[in-house]
Amino acid sequence: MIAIISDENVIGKQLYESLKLDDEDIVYHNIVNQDISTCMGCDYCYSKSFLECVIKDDMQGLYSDLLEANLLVLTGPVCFGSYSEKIKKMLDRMVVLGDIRYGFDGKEVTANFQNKEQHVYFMAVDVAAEDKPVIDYLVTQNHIITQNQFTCHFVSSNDDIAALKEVVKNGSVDYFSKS
Amino acid sequence: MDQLIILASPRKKGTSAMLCETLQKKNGGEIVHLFGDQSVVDKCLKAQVITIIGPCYINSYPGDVVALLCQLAQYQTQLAGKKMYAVIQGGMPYMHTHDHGIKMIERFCNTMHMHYMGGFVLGGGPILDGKPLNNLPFNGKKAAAVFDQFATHVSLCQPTDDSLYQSLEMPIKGPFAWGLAKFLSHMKIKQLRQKGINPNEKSPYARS
Repeated sequence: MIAIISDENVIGKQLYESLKLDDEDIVYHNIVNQDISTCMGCDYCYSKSFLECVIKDDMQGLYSDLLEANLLVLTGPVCFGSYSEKIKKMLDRMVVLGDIRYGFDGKEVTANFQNKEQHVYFMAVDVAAEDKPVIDYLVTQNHIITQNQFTCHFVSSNDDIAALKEVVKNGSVDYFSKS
Repeated sequence: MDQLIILASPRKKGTSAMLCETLQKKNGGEIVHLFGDQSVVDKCLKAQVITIIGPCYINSYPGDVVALLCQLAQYQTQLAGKKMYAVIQGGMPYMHTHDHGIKMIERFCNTMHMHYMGGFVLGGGPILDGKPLNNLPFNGKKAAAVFDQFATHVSLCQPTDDSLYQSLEMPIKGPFAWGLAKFLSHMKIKQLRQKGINPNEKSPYARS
């Protein structure tokens, strides 16, 4: 299953509609106006429950798709070389989708997702040249720590959607070759 | 010179708070809590030197720090020329796991025509849970001494070099890292069992 999570109103929706025409198993969430609170580090998910988040906001409607998607496409702006506030808060809250067992990548300790097959594709929209190496570094670090396939692609809101669809498919070869 | 220390952790008593208090004891200045204090932006506009100290959530500061930077970006004229330091601490012992946070602050400062003065990255921070730095296993005394050097740079408004905090990185690689992963997993499972939680349960968010 593909899940598209958008913190913008153009690229994600068009991608969803285009991939849906290809009969892909796909869901779309626009989080621009969603209520996503910050992770308060309360440790409820590890001390009072088994990986359940105590904060009852719009994240509760995203968790199952975030857990089960084999291809997670995030679309949104870049702020000072970071994900946007909304996307970063969502990723912060994904701690409950982590594996309680630490991993080892052959060199270092890693902190994996429960869904180890998941590919995460960040489509960074209209990014300033100076932001590109900084956000790319963050996405690379996400890849290293989770051992999931995190990749970053820089797109323009004026890009042809058919071309972007190919970018998603080419950038996520493993997902599409399996499905 | 007015010094502002921003506590960028939702927790008021954790390791980030301890680092804020350590810096304040040495240099003075005011600590403001990003979570719940509505005056953070106003205080940034009045301060001459800003130090942001927070935890690492999935390779960078919490999303609230991004929100703060976006708010501050509306005040470029007032912020131009101010000095900013960045401190980030997280669980993994590797600096590269956390150092995007200070790169983001550097990027922000460059955009805003502020002076990025340097950063400090601490691995293993959550082990302390608010206790002083010298309680850090293996290199606690060194970490306390190096952070004190960083604080001296802040008090003198001097730039700091990444080599300062990089000197704290421990070579936890290869078989040692494998062993550490096994040990940490064992401890986490043990803690869950002690709380009556079955570590083999399915996620409450799994549909099937």
